[in-house]
Amino acid sequence: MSDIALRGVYFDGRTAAGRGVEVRVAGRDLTVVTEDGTLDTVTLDRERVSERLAQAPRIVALDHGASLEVPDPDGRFDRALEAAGVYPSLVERVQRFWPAALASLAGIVVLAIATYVQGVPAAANWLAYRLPDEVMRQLDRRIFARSRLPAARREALTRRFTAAAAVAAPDVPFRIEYRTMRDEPGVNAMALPGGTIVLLDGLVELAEDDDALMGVLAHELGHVAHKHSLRGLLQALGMGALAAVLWGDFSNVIANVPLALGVLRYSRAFERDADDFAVALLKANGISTHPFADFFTTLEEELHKERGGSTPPAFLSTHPSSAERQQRLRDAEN
Amino acid sequence: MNDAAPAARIDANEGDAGVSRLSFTGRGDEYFRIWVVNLFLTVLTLGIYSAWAKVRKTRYFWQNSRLDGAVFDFHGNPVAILKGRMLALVLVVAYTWSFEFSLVAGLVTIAVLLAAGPWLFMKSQKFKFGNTSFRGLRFGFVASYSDSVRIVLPILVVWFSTTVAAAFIGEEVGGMLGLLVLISIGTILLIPWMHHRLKWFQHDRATYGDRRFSFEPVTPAFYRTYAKGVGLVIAGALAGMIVVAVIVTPLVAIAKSGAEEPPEWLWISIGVTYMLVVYVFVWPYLAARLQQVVWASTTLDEVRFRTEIAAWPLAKLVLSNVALVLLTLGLYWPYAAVALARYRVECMRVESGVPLSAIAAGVEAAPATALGDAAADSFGLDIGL
Repeated sequence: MSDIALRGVYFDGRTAAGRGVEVRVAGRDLTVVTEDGTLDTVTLDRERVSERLAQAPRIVALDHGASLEVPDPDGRFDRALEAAGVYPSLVERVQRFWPAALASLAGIVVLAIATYVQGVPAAANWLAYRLPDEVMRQLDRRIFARSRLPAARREALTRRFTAAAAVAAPDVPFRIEYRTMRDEPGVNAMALPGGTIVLLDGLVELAEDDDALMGVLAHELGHVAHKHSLRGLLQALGMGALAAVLWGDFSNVIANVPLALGVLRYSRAFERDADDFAVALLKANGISTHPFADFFTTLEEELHKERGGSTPPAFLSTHPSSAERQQRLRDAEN
Repeated sequence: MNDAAPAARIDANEGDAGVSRLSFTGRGDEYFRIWVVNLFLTVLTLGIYSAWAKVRKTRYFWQNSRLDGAVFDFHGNPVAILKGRMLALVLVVAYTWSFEFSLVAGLVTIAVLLAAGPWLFMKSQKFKFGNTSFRGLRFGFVASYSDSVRIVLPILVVWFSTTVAAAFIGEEVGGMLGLLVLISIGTILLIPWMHHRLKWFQHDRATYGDRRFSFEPVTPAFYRTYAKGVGLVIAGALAGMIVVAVIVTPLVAIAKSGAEEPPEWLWISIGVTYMLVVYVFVWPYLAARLQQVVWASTTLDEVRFRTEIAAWPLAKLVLSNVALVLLTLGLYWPYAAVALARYRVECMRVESGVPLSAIAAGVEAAPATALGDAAADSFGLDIGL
């Protein structure tokens, strides 16, 4: 254990004046010495001494608000500290050691992948079953109008689907709401959080076969059963939070790229799940899946007619492609 | 008074003895390791460690900032930062979700934010300044809750006015939409005023030891700068339109020839590119000019400040940072942070007329008040201003 003496600057904490001093380390004791004699002596510990950085002086907290700045370009002070038993913390050692820092980088990548694959869906799933909804009220206020379909038609559809759902999925609570858009019939159907299925007039009018509408409703009930609307939202939020952590405060622009990709991937899986649910429901009721599959073609044609106008129906939502989904539905029949 | 540290001589003032430059000694490769370990531990602890990461990061940047041979330091308590972050999270979630539940819940949340906002701002400034030190003395922020209400509340009212109006008006009444647009435009027109007011509050209430900074209000300069910034955005938008017409439209045609519609990624990449262009050119302009204005208006007794930060060098730096961050999938980020900090810190000039050490001898610690010391340590909240 060697005694060393270094130059440092002493600040007494009462004024901003600095004093050039000699800093002596002997054993665990650090002594501040001037020409006039000893200024201060303290026992060293990790709390007192700032972490070692390449260019910055070590800052030593003395008693009564006084402090010391000790430049340590050749590491002599650092060695004296280690000799005095003042070792760097684990985090500090990892930070100094390139291989360990790079291992942290690998750890981040692994954690990010694990979060994406497992954590985000699991957390979203957990929350999705616990959040209430007020979305319908908002939609009614903002974009929907009352349905213009005859009441008898609506009741017949609801009755038939309720009976069919009772066979295949008796535990999924739902409610069918008939609406139209304010300025167009709206060729669309959607599942809202809380089990509300909205069927727009345009879609009902377009369908030539009620079996196709049973398919549409069954698909939407699939979204309800899997809580897709909330899971989608929460997964988007979760991805956003993850991206924000990874990219720090750099830029929301970059943070949103993985976000958009993640949402895309999830939505594809959602549509497939809902289709599978619809197939199971139709089959359990002895309804052919062909009218539902054919309805995709009708919808696509309708979409092309009004190209440039409205967005594609939510339950078509372009991913996966209609052709691929039609094929799956037809395959399921056989 | 003699600063005997060798470092003091290395960056002794060149030329004019009355003007001191700051220097920055941080290094990208060193900060990379700190950053990556911080990030790893933050992810591993589901964000809890972010408070400790914040302290390590802040200490790194302050301890590598040097003025007249002495460095700055940060003393923030991570637990206080953690508490602040948890509260901020609660408020953000409440604000985001409250209007989804009901109008009343939304308005209650806004009322809470209006009452708490000035307090939070005051606390965050006290924490930030009160935990920063130089030459053994702390900086500080002297403002009471009522001061903060007087300064910050009008800003919050303007800021929330659009949200509140939108909630009331909804879209039931078509004619009211005009009012909503009017309120939004009014809010936008007041952004320079709001920004200036906050800077003024920050710089006029900051202290160092027993001395208080002062700030000469310069609202018109803020408006002039913002106006030029908006001009740049408009010029950029026009240039963007030309680019779309000349380059993008043919690209779309090419993409269209194969599929039936232009692929989504094309629009996404155009949007991202445009936002990056704005970030790379407009933000540096605003940041550089406003920094010049703010520091030129700030004094600490006889000491004046100046920054030689300039729009074009800053834009070039931001451009290369963004490009390298993108190319390295983010790994360049810590190097970028260091490069930006070096530029900003080394642009600072402190004009004192006499050597700073001569002034330092006269600056004493602020008289200790139990309340003030506790405030600096109780509660840490980052408000990025």
